[in-house]
Amino acid sequence: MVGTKMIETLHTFTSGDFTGLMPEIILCAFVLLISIYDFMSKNKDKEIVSYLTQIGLLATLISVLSLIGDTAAGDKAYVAYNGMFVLDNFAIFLKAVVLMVAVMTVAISHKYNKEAGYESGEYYTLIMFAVLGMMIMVSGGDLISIFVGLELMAIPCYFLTGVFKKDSRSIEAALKYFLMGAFSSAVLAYGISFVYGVIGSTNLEAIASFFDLAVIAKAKAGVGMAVTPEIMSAASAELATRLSNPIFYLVLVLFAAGFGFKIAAAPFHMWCPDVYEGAPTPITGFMSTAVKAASFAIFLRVYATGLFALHVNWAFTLGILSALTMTVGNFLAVTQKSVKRMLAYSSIAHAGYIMMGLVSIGIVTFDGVTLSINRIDDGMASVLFYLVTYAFMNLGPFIIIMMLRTKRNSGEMMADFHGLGKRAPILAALMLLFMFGLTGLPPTGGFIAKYYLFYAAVKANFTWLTIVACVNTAVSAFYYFRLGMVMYMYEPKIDEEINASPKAVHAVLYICVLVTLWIGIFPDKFFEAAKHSLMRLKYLL
Amino acid sequence: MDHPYLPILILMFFAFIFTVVTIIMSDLARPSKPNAEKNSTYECGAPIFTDARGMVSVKYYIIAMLFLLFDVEAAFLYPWAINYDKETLGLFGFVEIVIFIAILLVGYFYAWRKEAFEWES
Amino acid sequence: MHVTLIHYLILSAIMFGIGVVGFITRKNMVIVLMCIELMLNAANINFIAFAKYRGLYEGMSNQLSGQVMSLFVITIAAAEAAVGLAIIIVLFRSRKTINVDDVDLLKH
Repeated sequence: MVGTKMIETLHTFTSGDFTGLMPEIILCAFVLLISIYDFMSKNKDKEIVSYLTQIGLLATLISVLSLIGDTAAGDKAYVAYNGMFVLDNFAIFLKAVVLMVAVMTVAISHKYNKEAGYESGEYYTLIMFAVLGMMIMVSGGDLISIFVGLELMAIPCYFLTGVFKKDSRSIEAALKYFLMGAFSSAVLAYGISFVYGVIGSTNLEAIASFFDLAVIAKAKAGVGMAVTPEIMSAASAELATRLSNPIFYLVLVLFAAGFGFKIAAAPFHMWCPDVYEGAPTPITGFMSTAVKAASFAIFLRVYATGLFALHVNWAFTLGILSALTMTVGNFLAVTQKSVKRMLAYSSIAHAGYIMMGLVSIGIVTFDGVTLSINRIDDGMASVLFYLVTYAFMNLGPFIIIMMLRTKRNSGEMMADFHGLGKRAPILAALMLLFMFGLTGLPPTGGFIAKYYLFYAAVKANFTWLTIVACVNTAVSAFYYFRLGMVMYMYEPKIDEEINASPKAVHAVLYICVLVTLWIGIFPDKFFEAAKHSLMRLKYLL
Repeated sequence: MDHPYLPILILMFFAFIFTVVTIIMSDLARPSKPNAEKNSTYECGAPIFTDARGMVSVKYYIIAMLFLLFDVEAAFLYPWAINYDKETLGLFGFVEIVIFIAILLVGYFYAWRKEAFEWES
Repeated sequence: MHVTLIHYLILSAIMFGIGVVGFITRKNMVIVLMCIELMLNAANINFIAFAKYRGLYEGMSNQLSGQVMSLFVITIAAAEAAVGLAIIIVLFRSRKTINVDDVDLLKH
């Protein structure tokens, strides 16, 4: 009896539900087939697996891009599985970014792993699983699917960090990443349980309408009845009670901690430098770009849709966290002797900058009687714009670190960069270009992206945060340019020849350079894409 | 006196009393002739060879891991099995669960191929 | 006295608290792993209790999404335990220790 009742409340599946899910299905099929091929074949050289993985990711990318027309044509975003899965332009944008980064990561990995003596097929399948998790996560319309996607992303990443299993630093990084990641997931799950308890649903749309005055008024008026002024005022009183529920403070704290760990925001950033230093370099690049983009996307989606009505409560706190994050990241980066670790701290600082866009998604106005929150589209668009720019300009330096590895030197230390201008003029010039980008100087995309973030923050009345960010940019210029000085002013410390890298690595490096410059010089298309991806953002407009 | 948990309290009370009484009774009734053999720790009649707090072989952890993963599979099969009937889920629901098990089977064959089930290696 | 929602919430809060304190203070990695499981299960108790009591509130026997969520959390907890055990085994093979404090190669 109970069983049949439960079934009635379930949405019955139709074959139409699969069209928007096609990229995920394709990727999943590729993961399974590639892993079967991998463990059945006797071949110790995993080059073929690497190519197959690239083909699989590219096929998925094509199927994601082919969906652009579908959602843009209709009025509504595509929703499936009781609102668990949402395919809007926002999701397509981020899926495309994540897949591009993943293809590049796979393309540069094979030789690096082979030289380190850790060739394994699992490396590639785990990357694909992580990408699958990210794709489900950025399409999550429900906290359940977001949580499952987040874990599907995180668990392969723990393994990928420790994939060099005889290198104690890699294992240690995996352990730290795992402990912190699992802890933050548990905190997030506990937070979600309270959202569910108070609102009765984990669906983002249901959470948003719980705080929607019009919805409450309609429910109070009853079906088909007009909303009278008395009902309206009763509804506002109800909304005020709902908003001031102290449980939501607890939820916001737990969510900030849970998401803060994932994006490495201070004071939850401790794991980040160790993990980025210990992980294999291609994986560090992957984690600092794709994983970060996906985590920020979901942070943005949850806060801009479900929890947007609580903006007054979270914006200032997250603003302080943002200021703290960028300050901690930049000041600690100054003293580092390892370039990889310095880039890890720089990545923390950048998380702080991006959070600035996150708090700027709304502006609170008070006209003496009522408090109202208005959306600022530039805030969200600037986050997306920064994420795509950052993905390319931060992957580049890690590729150069990877290329500098020789038999005796890791390529990760400052000493490896001494006199690089003489040893490898092209690599040094490209590294300098990426440092320009990370500092936020023209002609790179970093300048435009940072400018756009600052613009959004000022528009949202976060002028103090913008000032903190400006000071931080000055501090960051110090260590980014010290690397430039080390490369051009110092004499080489290492007399080893730099190994020739495969064509694929060069190709990926030049793609990063070109995109970074392209965004810097012709940003219009990217602006348009970022803005367009907010159109028909489900549960928002 | 009609508290819903009262029977449990009564049960716990009698369980405690029974245990204490039987221990005391048997202690009073039995003859006491201790020797070294009798005072040693009882381990199914076999002589003791190591301390109980020793290390456990890593192999047990691998078995535990595999057990855990395939055990949780059942947690998803239960709701499906309870709700399964021809009208609502039908062939579609059946195909879905076959796909689910097929995905898990890939993992099973992976573990097999990687010799995770081999005790001697 | 009947068991109501608040009792379940207190139970889960205590479990979560034990988990957090254990996570911070304990040195043995397996115990740290168990503390994480404790925290995830605290969330599970919340989900089930809320599902039951929200269901009563809305005139149903149960509300579905809380139960579904707890199933997913159980799965994720299992996956995390497996990953954690695997990492601990690999770490033990390379360092001969499972003490968290001994794992400090990556510090400046």
